[in-house]
Amino acid sequence: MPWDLKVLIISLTVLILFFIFFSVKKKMISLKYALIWILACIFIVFVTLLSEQIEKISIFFGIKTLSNMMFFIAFIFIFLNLYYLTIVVSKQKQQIINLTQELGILKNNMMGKGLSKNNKQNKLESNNLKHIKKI
Amino acid sequence: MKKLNKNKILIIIPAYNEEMNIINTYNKIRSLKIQNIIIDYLIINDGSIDNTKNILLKEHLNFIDLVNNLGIGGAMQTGYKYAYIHNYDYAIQFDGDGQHNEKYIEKLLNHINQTGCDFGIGSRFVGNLSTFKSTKTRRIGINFLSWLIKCGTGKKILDVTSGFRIANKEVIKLFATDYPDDYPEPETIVFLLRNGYKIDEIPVEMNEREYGSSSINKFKSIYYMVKVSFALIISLFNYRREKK
Repeated sequence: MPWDLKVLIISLTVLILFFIFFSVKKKMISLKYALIWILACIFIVFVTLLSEQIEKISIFFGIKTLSNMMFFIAFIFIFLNLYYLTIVVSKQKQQIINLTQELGILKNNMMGKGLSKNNKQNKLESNNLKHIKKI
Repeated sequence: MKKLNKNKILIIIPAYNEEMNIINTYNKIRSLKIQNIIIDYLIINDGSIDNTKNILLKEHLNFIDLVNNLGIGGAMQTGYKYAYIHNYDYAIQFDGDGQHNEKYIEKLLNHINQTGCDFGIGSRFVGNLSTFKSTKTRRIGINFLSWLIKCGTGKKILDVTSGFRIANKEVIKLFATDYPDDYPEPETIVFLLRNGYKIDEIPVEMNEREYGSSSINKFKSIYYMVKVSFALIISLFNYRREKK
């Protein structure tokens, strides 16, 4: 890999790294989710600096050029990251459902309509509520 | 029959944009009287964007207002959570759109009381009570889902999409903590059967919707079939938990 290309890639990566740091600092993204991108940037710098050695490895695995190997790795990385984000979104959906339900029940309670309760029943109800929250 | 004395039941009425139907439904429920049984109702306003909430407020009805539209699964689970928190003996799912007939609530209740099953489904296709017309494609879809459930659980349920249901205390507890979202009806059947609960179908009559359109239109029906089929297949692989 020619030196000028290496400089270009590394400077671009450093730029992206700065952008990520900026985003975390401004709290646009949380560090937890930024970490994986920071690691990816470090990986790119690493590969660029050691391109000759890594090309040998890719030939060893039967991949003819370094760029193909990089595309392959990038594809796997993006797939895994997207899948991880899908997991995060699904979890958040469940959390939103729970929040909406609890808020609805709370609002209903505050309206104080419907059932007249005695103390014993109240106690039972709060126990049941605790049980739900545990799960 | 002595046990009946203490029973209190909750009728859960999910409502999404049902400003035209909800009062009619409420009036039907209000006029309902069953001996020795306390009947409470709960309307779930599932983030309606029409006047439903205002009507509910104006009429001082007992309702839960959800700030987001959760869909029928999330809305129904809210009802089960409420039923569990307030310690109801039975919960009945009753649609807010006028499709279900309140006359049959007592029938569902008697059935579940006498046979000791855990979950009752008001069925259009059992017996010859119902003259409910549905399109041919819909019947094919329902038959397919029914077949899928039969294959997985060995139990033939004819009306798998019926939303007219009754649950006993144990099922209420189960649903309060775990209930499928999106299109829950067929999935809950598998979920219950896999967990060792007993389900019965009870013949009922159903009406056509009074106003508005069903939540499942033509465009969504393919998505519905694909999603529900996958959900059923996945839930078949869930390990069987021992009934407590």
